[in-house]
Amino acid sequence: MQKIVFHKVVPLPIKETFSQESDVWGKEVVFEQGVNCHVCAPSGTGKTTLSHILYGLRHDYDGEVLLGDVKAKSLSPDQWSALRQTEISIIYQDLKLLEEYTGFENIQIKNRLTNFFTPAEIEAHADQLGIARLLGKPCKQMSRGERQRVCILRALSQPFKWLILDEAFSHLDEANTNKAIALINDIAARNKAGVISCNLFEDQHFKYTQKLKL
Amino acid sequence: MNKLLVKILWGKQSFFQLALTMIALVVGVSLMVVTINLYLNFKELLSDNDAFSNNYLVINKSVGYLNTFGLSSTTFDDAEIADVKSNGLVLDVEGFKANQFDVELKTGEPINLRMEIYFESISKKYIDKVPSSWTWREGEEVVPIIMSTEFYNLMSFGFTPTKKGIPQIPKSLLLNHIFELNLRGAKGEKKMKTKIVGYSDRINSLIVPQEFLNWANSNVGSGTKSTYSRVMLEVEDASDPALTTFLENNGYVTNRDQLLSGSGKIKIKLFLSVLGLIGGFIVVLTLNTLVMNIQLLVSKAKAELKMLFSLGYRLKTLFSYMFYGFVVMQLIPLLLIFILLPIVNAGIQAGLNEFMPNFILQTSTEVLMLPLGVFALSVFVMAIFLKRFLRLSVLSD
Repeated sequence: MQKIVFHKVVPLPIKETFSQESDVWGKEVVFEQGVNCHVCAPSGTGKTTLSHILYGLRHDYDGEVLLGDVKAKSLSPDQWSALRQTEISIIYQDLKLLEEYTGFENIQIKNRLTNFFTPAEIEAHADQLGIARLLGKPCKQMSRGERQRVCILRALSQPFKWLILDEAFSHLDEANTNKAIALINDIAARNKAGVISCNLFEDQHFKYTQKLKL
Repeated sequence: MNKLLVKILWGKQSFFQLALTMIALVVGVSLMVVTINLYLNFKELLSDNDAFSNNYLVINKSVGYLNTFGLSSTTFDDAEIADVKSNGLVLDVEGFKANQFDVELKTGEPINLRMEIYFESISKKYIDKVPSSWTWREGEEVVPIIMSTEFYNLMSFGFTPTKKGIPQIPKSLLLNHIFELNLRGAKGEKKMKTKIVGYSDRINSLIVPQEFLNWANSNVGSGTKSTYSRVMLEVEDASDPALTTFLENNGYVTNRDQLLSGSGKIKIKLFLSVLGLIGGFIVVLTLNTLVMNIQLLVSKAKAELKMLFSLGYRLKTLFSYMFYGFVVMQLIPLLLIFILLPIVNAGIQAGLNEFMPNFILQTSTEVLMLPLGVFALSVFVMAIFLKRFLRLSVLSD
């Protein structure tokens, strides 16, 4: 899969309200593998909807999403599972962690699918993000920022070609954001992958070669 | 195996309701197994040829004043027997052959009792218990008799207690005691010997082998053609009302008790069928409850399932981790049934021992297959519904 193509995609919930000036909705957009793309999306323009369509969690849209040559809507749940194991990863805005379980368990539950990292590597990367000592703690006892970093490390614990970021650093200070960006860049480079970073405002987190406005 | 996945999917579940369902399953299946096993064990008693059987009837004509004055006969002729046989309710018919000569029995010393008796004869297939020694060939001196248990009872509990000097003799001791026999008929007199070789619960008579009676009738007695005063019927079901009506219309008399014991048997059959049906009903209800339990367990883990699916876990993987959990849980009632079954059977055996000391309850392999069958069925039902519920809850928004 070399590219993801949006062909006149319009999500049904914003069918009546989406802006005609959007670079994505109702237009032809190509996301190339290995290209860093920034999507600037003010509230209500469908930022989370876009990341969920890219990740296969939503199929309620007009138009077509093509993964390579294949229509996204034609993929079975198990084919989507396969893509989520090795091709596409996501850092959710709402984190979606198992609150009762520890940081380490939350990362492992993803990592176990492909055994991408060894437990030692998970420790090392957690250390880079400044959450190594929190790994044994249930997520419900962590701060929002700490949980966001667990979520980032979980998303990185698999091979991927595209990494979708949905306000991935919204609860981090600048220093921690920079640590996270460094780790993402490092692992994305290793995977020859690009990021699709959706944010409320324009940012300089990655070296973007494609910029879109929702 | 991914232990973390097991922990996430099963860790939050409460198993109380499931345990109740499993207990119901154990009760239902056990009830079915025990009932079917009892039915199989008593099948012979409830239908086949034995003393309790309800398939054999002895009929005779009722005696009226005309008989007393010799104006009418209570014997059956061949036409009447043919008529009984052709009515469709009767499988087979045979008349009892009787002696056409006088028979005197002498007990010998020390009791020295003489009595006039009679002999009858009928084919072996109508006799409930035929000892191997119940045979006779021309030239043999000793005639073997099968005696009616009822006759023995009359003698030992009716007659003997009223006679001084005559002891009560146990059944087994009476067997094979040699009595003297005096036959007197149109063609002369013959001294022979006799012994009781067995007892019959079905036939109220003194039965000798047909070979003997044929020989004695033509060599001691008149040798005229036999008529029958009593007729044995083999029927499908003695409690059949159509049969009762037929017998009444023809003025035939039979033993009422046997008809009643027939209806008693029907009650036992009915009881067992109702018990088995209740068991089956419980099993069906339990399978239904099991489906609801699966739905409950899946819906409790819905958030986890959705999240795991969105992380990249395949539906198949999630299915198998839940399914194998259910299968393991199903194994517990299955094991319980196999542990309980011998205990229940021992209890039933103990109960039976009180009135059927020689009866040994058997457990047939077919019956043991039943819990396995129910297990397979419930696993099958689980697989179908689990798959459905899983898809519904994971793929819903």
